[in-house]
Amino acid sequence: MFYNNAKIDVFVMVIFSLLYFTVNIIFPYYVSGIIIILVSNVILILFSILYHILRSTK
Amino acid sequence: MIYTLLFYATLIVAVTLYSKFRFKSNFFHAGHDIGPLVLLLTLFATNMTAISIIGAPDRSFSGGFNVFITLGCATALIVPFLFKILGTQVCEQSKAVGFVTQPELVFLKTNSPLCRYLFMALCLCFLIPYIIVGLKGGGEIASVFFKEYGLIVDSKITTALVALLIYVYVVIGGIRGTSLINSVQAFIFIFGSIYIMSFLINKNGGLTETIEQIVVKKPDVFKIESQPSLLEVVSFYVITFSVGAFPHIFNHWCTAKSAKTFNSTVILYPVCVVLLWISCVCIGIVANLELTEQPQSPVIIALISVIDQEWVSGVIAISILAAIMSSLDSQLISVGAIVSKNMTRLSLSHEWILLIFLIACYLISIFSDQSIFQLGIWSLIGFSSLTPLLYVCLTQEKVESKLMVMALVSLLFAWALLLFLDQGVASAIVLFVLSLTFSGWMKFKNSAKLKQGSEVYT
Repeated sequence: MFYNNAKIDVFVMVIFSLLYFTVNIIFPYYVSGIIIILVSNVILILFSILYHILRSTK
Repeated sequence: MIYTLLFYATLIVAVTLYSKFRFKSNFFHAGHDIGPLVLLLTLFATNMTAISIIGAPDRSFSGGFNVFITLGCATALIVPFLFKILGTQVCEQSKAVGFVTQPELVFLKTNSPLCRYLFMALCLCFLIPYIIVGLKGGGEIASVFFKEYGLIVDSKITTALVALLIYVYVVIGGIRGTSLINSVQAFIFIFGSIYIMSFLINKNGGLTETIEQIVVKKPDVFKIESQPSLLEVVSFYVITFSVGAFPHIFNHWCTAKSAKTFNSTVILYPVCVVLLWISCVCIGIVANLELTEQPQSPVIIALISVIDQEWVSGVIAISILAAIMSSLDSQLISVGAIVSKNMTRLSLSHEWILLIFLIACYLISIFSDQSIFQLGIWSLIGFSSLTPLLYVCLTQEKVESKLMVMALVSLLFAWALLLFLDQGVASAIVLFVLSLTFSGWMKFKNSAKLKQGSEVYT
């Protein structure tokens, strides 16, 4: 009964990981100010919080 | 400052006694009834070591927001997923089956005593340096702290004091007392760091004026100082996965009331991380207006002599102590659980196991030199490689023992080899990929077996 609950969370975590790498590896090539990268990271964290809220209310 | 320290000590004693006399529960799992608020705060306090409150201001003093992006954001993003994916399963299975340590879980799924003892050896091998580093760091910070006040106290004495205080409240309160104290400590260092940040900003004439002064004094602070390499970003990201295999976090997962208890933890944990890290990084950046150059002692401690305010010094002192002690106590209790639950022939009580272990760690910490601090990162690298294996154990009904033995032995050898060759943080990626390969292999074998079984059945 426990074993199949985690698959969707693992999938979403991989998606967020890829977004994190995009923000922190690709963005610095195009922007010189740190604020854009900082804000992008915070937005990413806010989206992950939103995902957790939606998942917990299901 | 002395009154603030006394207040902190009294608070710890009061919470320990409250927990001792108010609740009569199991030493290692607290009757599986820890609620959402205490779970959130205790997991947060256990995870946040001195790196955030001492390391972050130190790095941001010269590097600005870079440290928040590489370490803080990765933690805020990944750790809640680990709580959701692994923590909820650990909690439910622990309640159903009764394990409180990782080697017990591995034994349950592989039915192999060899796997159990190998996993136990790996856990202790990675955890002991981590505890020694914490103990030594805590003692040295306390010693430097007294030095700022003109008091010369040897770090051996301050380390012993920190160890003694932790031992007393862990033994009296058990995991429940430790969780309650960790919650108080989390409050202290979150609000402590926010208070220190706002004090520094107000001292410099408010937010706008402070930013203007910083831009004049340090024009590069809002620019990317040095672009982190792909390897660096990925390595630090992989190291964040170590949280999934920390024995002390595992122990706290087992104490939760139910899987639903984790809902508020996964939502609020990133908020707490961002609050703490942003304030710690801001302390480091604003410290540029107080200190002319990077001090020899940590920035947050050097601020004490510059600020010259008793109350603020006290807040800095208890915030640092709370951050250090909140991790050490949980690590200590998890060692007690690992040894007493898995070495059942050992007739020693958990009080004696903890005492012997703490004395051994204390002796190693006082006789070791500064190079021991390098082992801290290697502990994290080791733990991050165990996370995929634990995921397989949690999500499969049975795991093939031969494959698990192969995985554990390979990881141990690879870890020791990379440590010996001093290959740096990039080793985390190698070990993580190795562990993922073995985990995938185990899952593939299981699904093949299941398929074979269903074909025979039809």
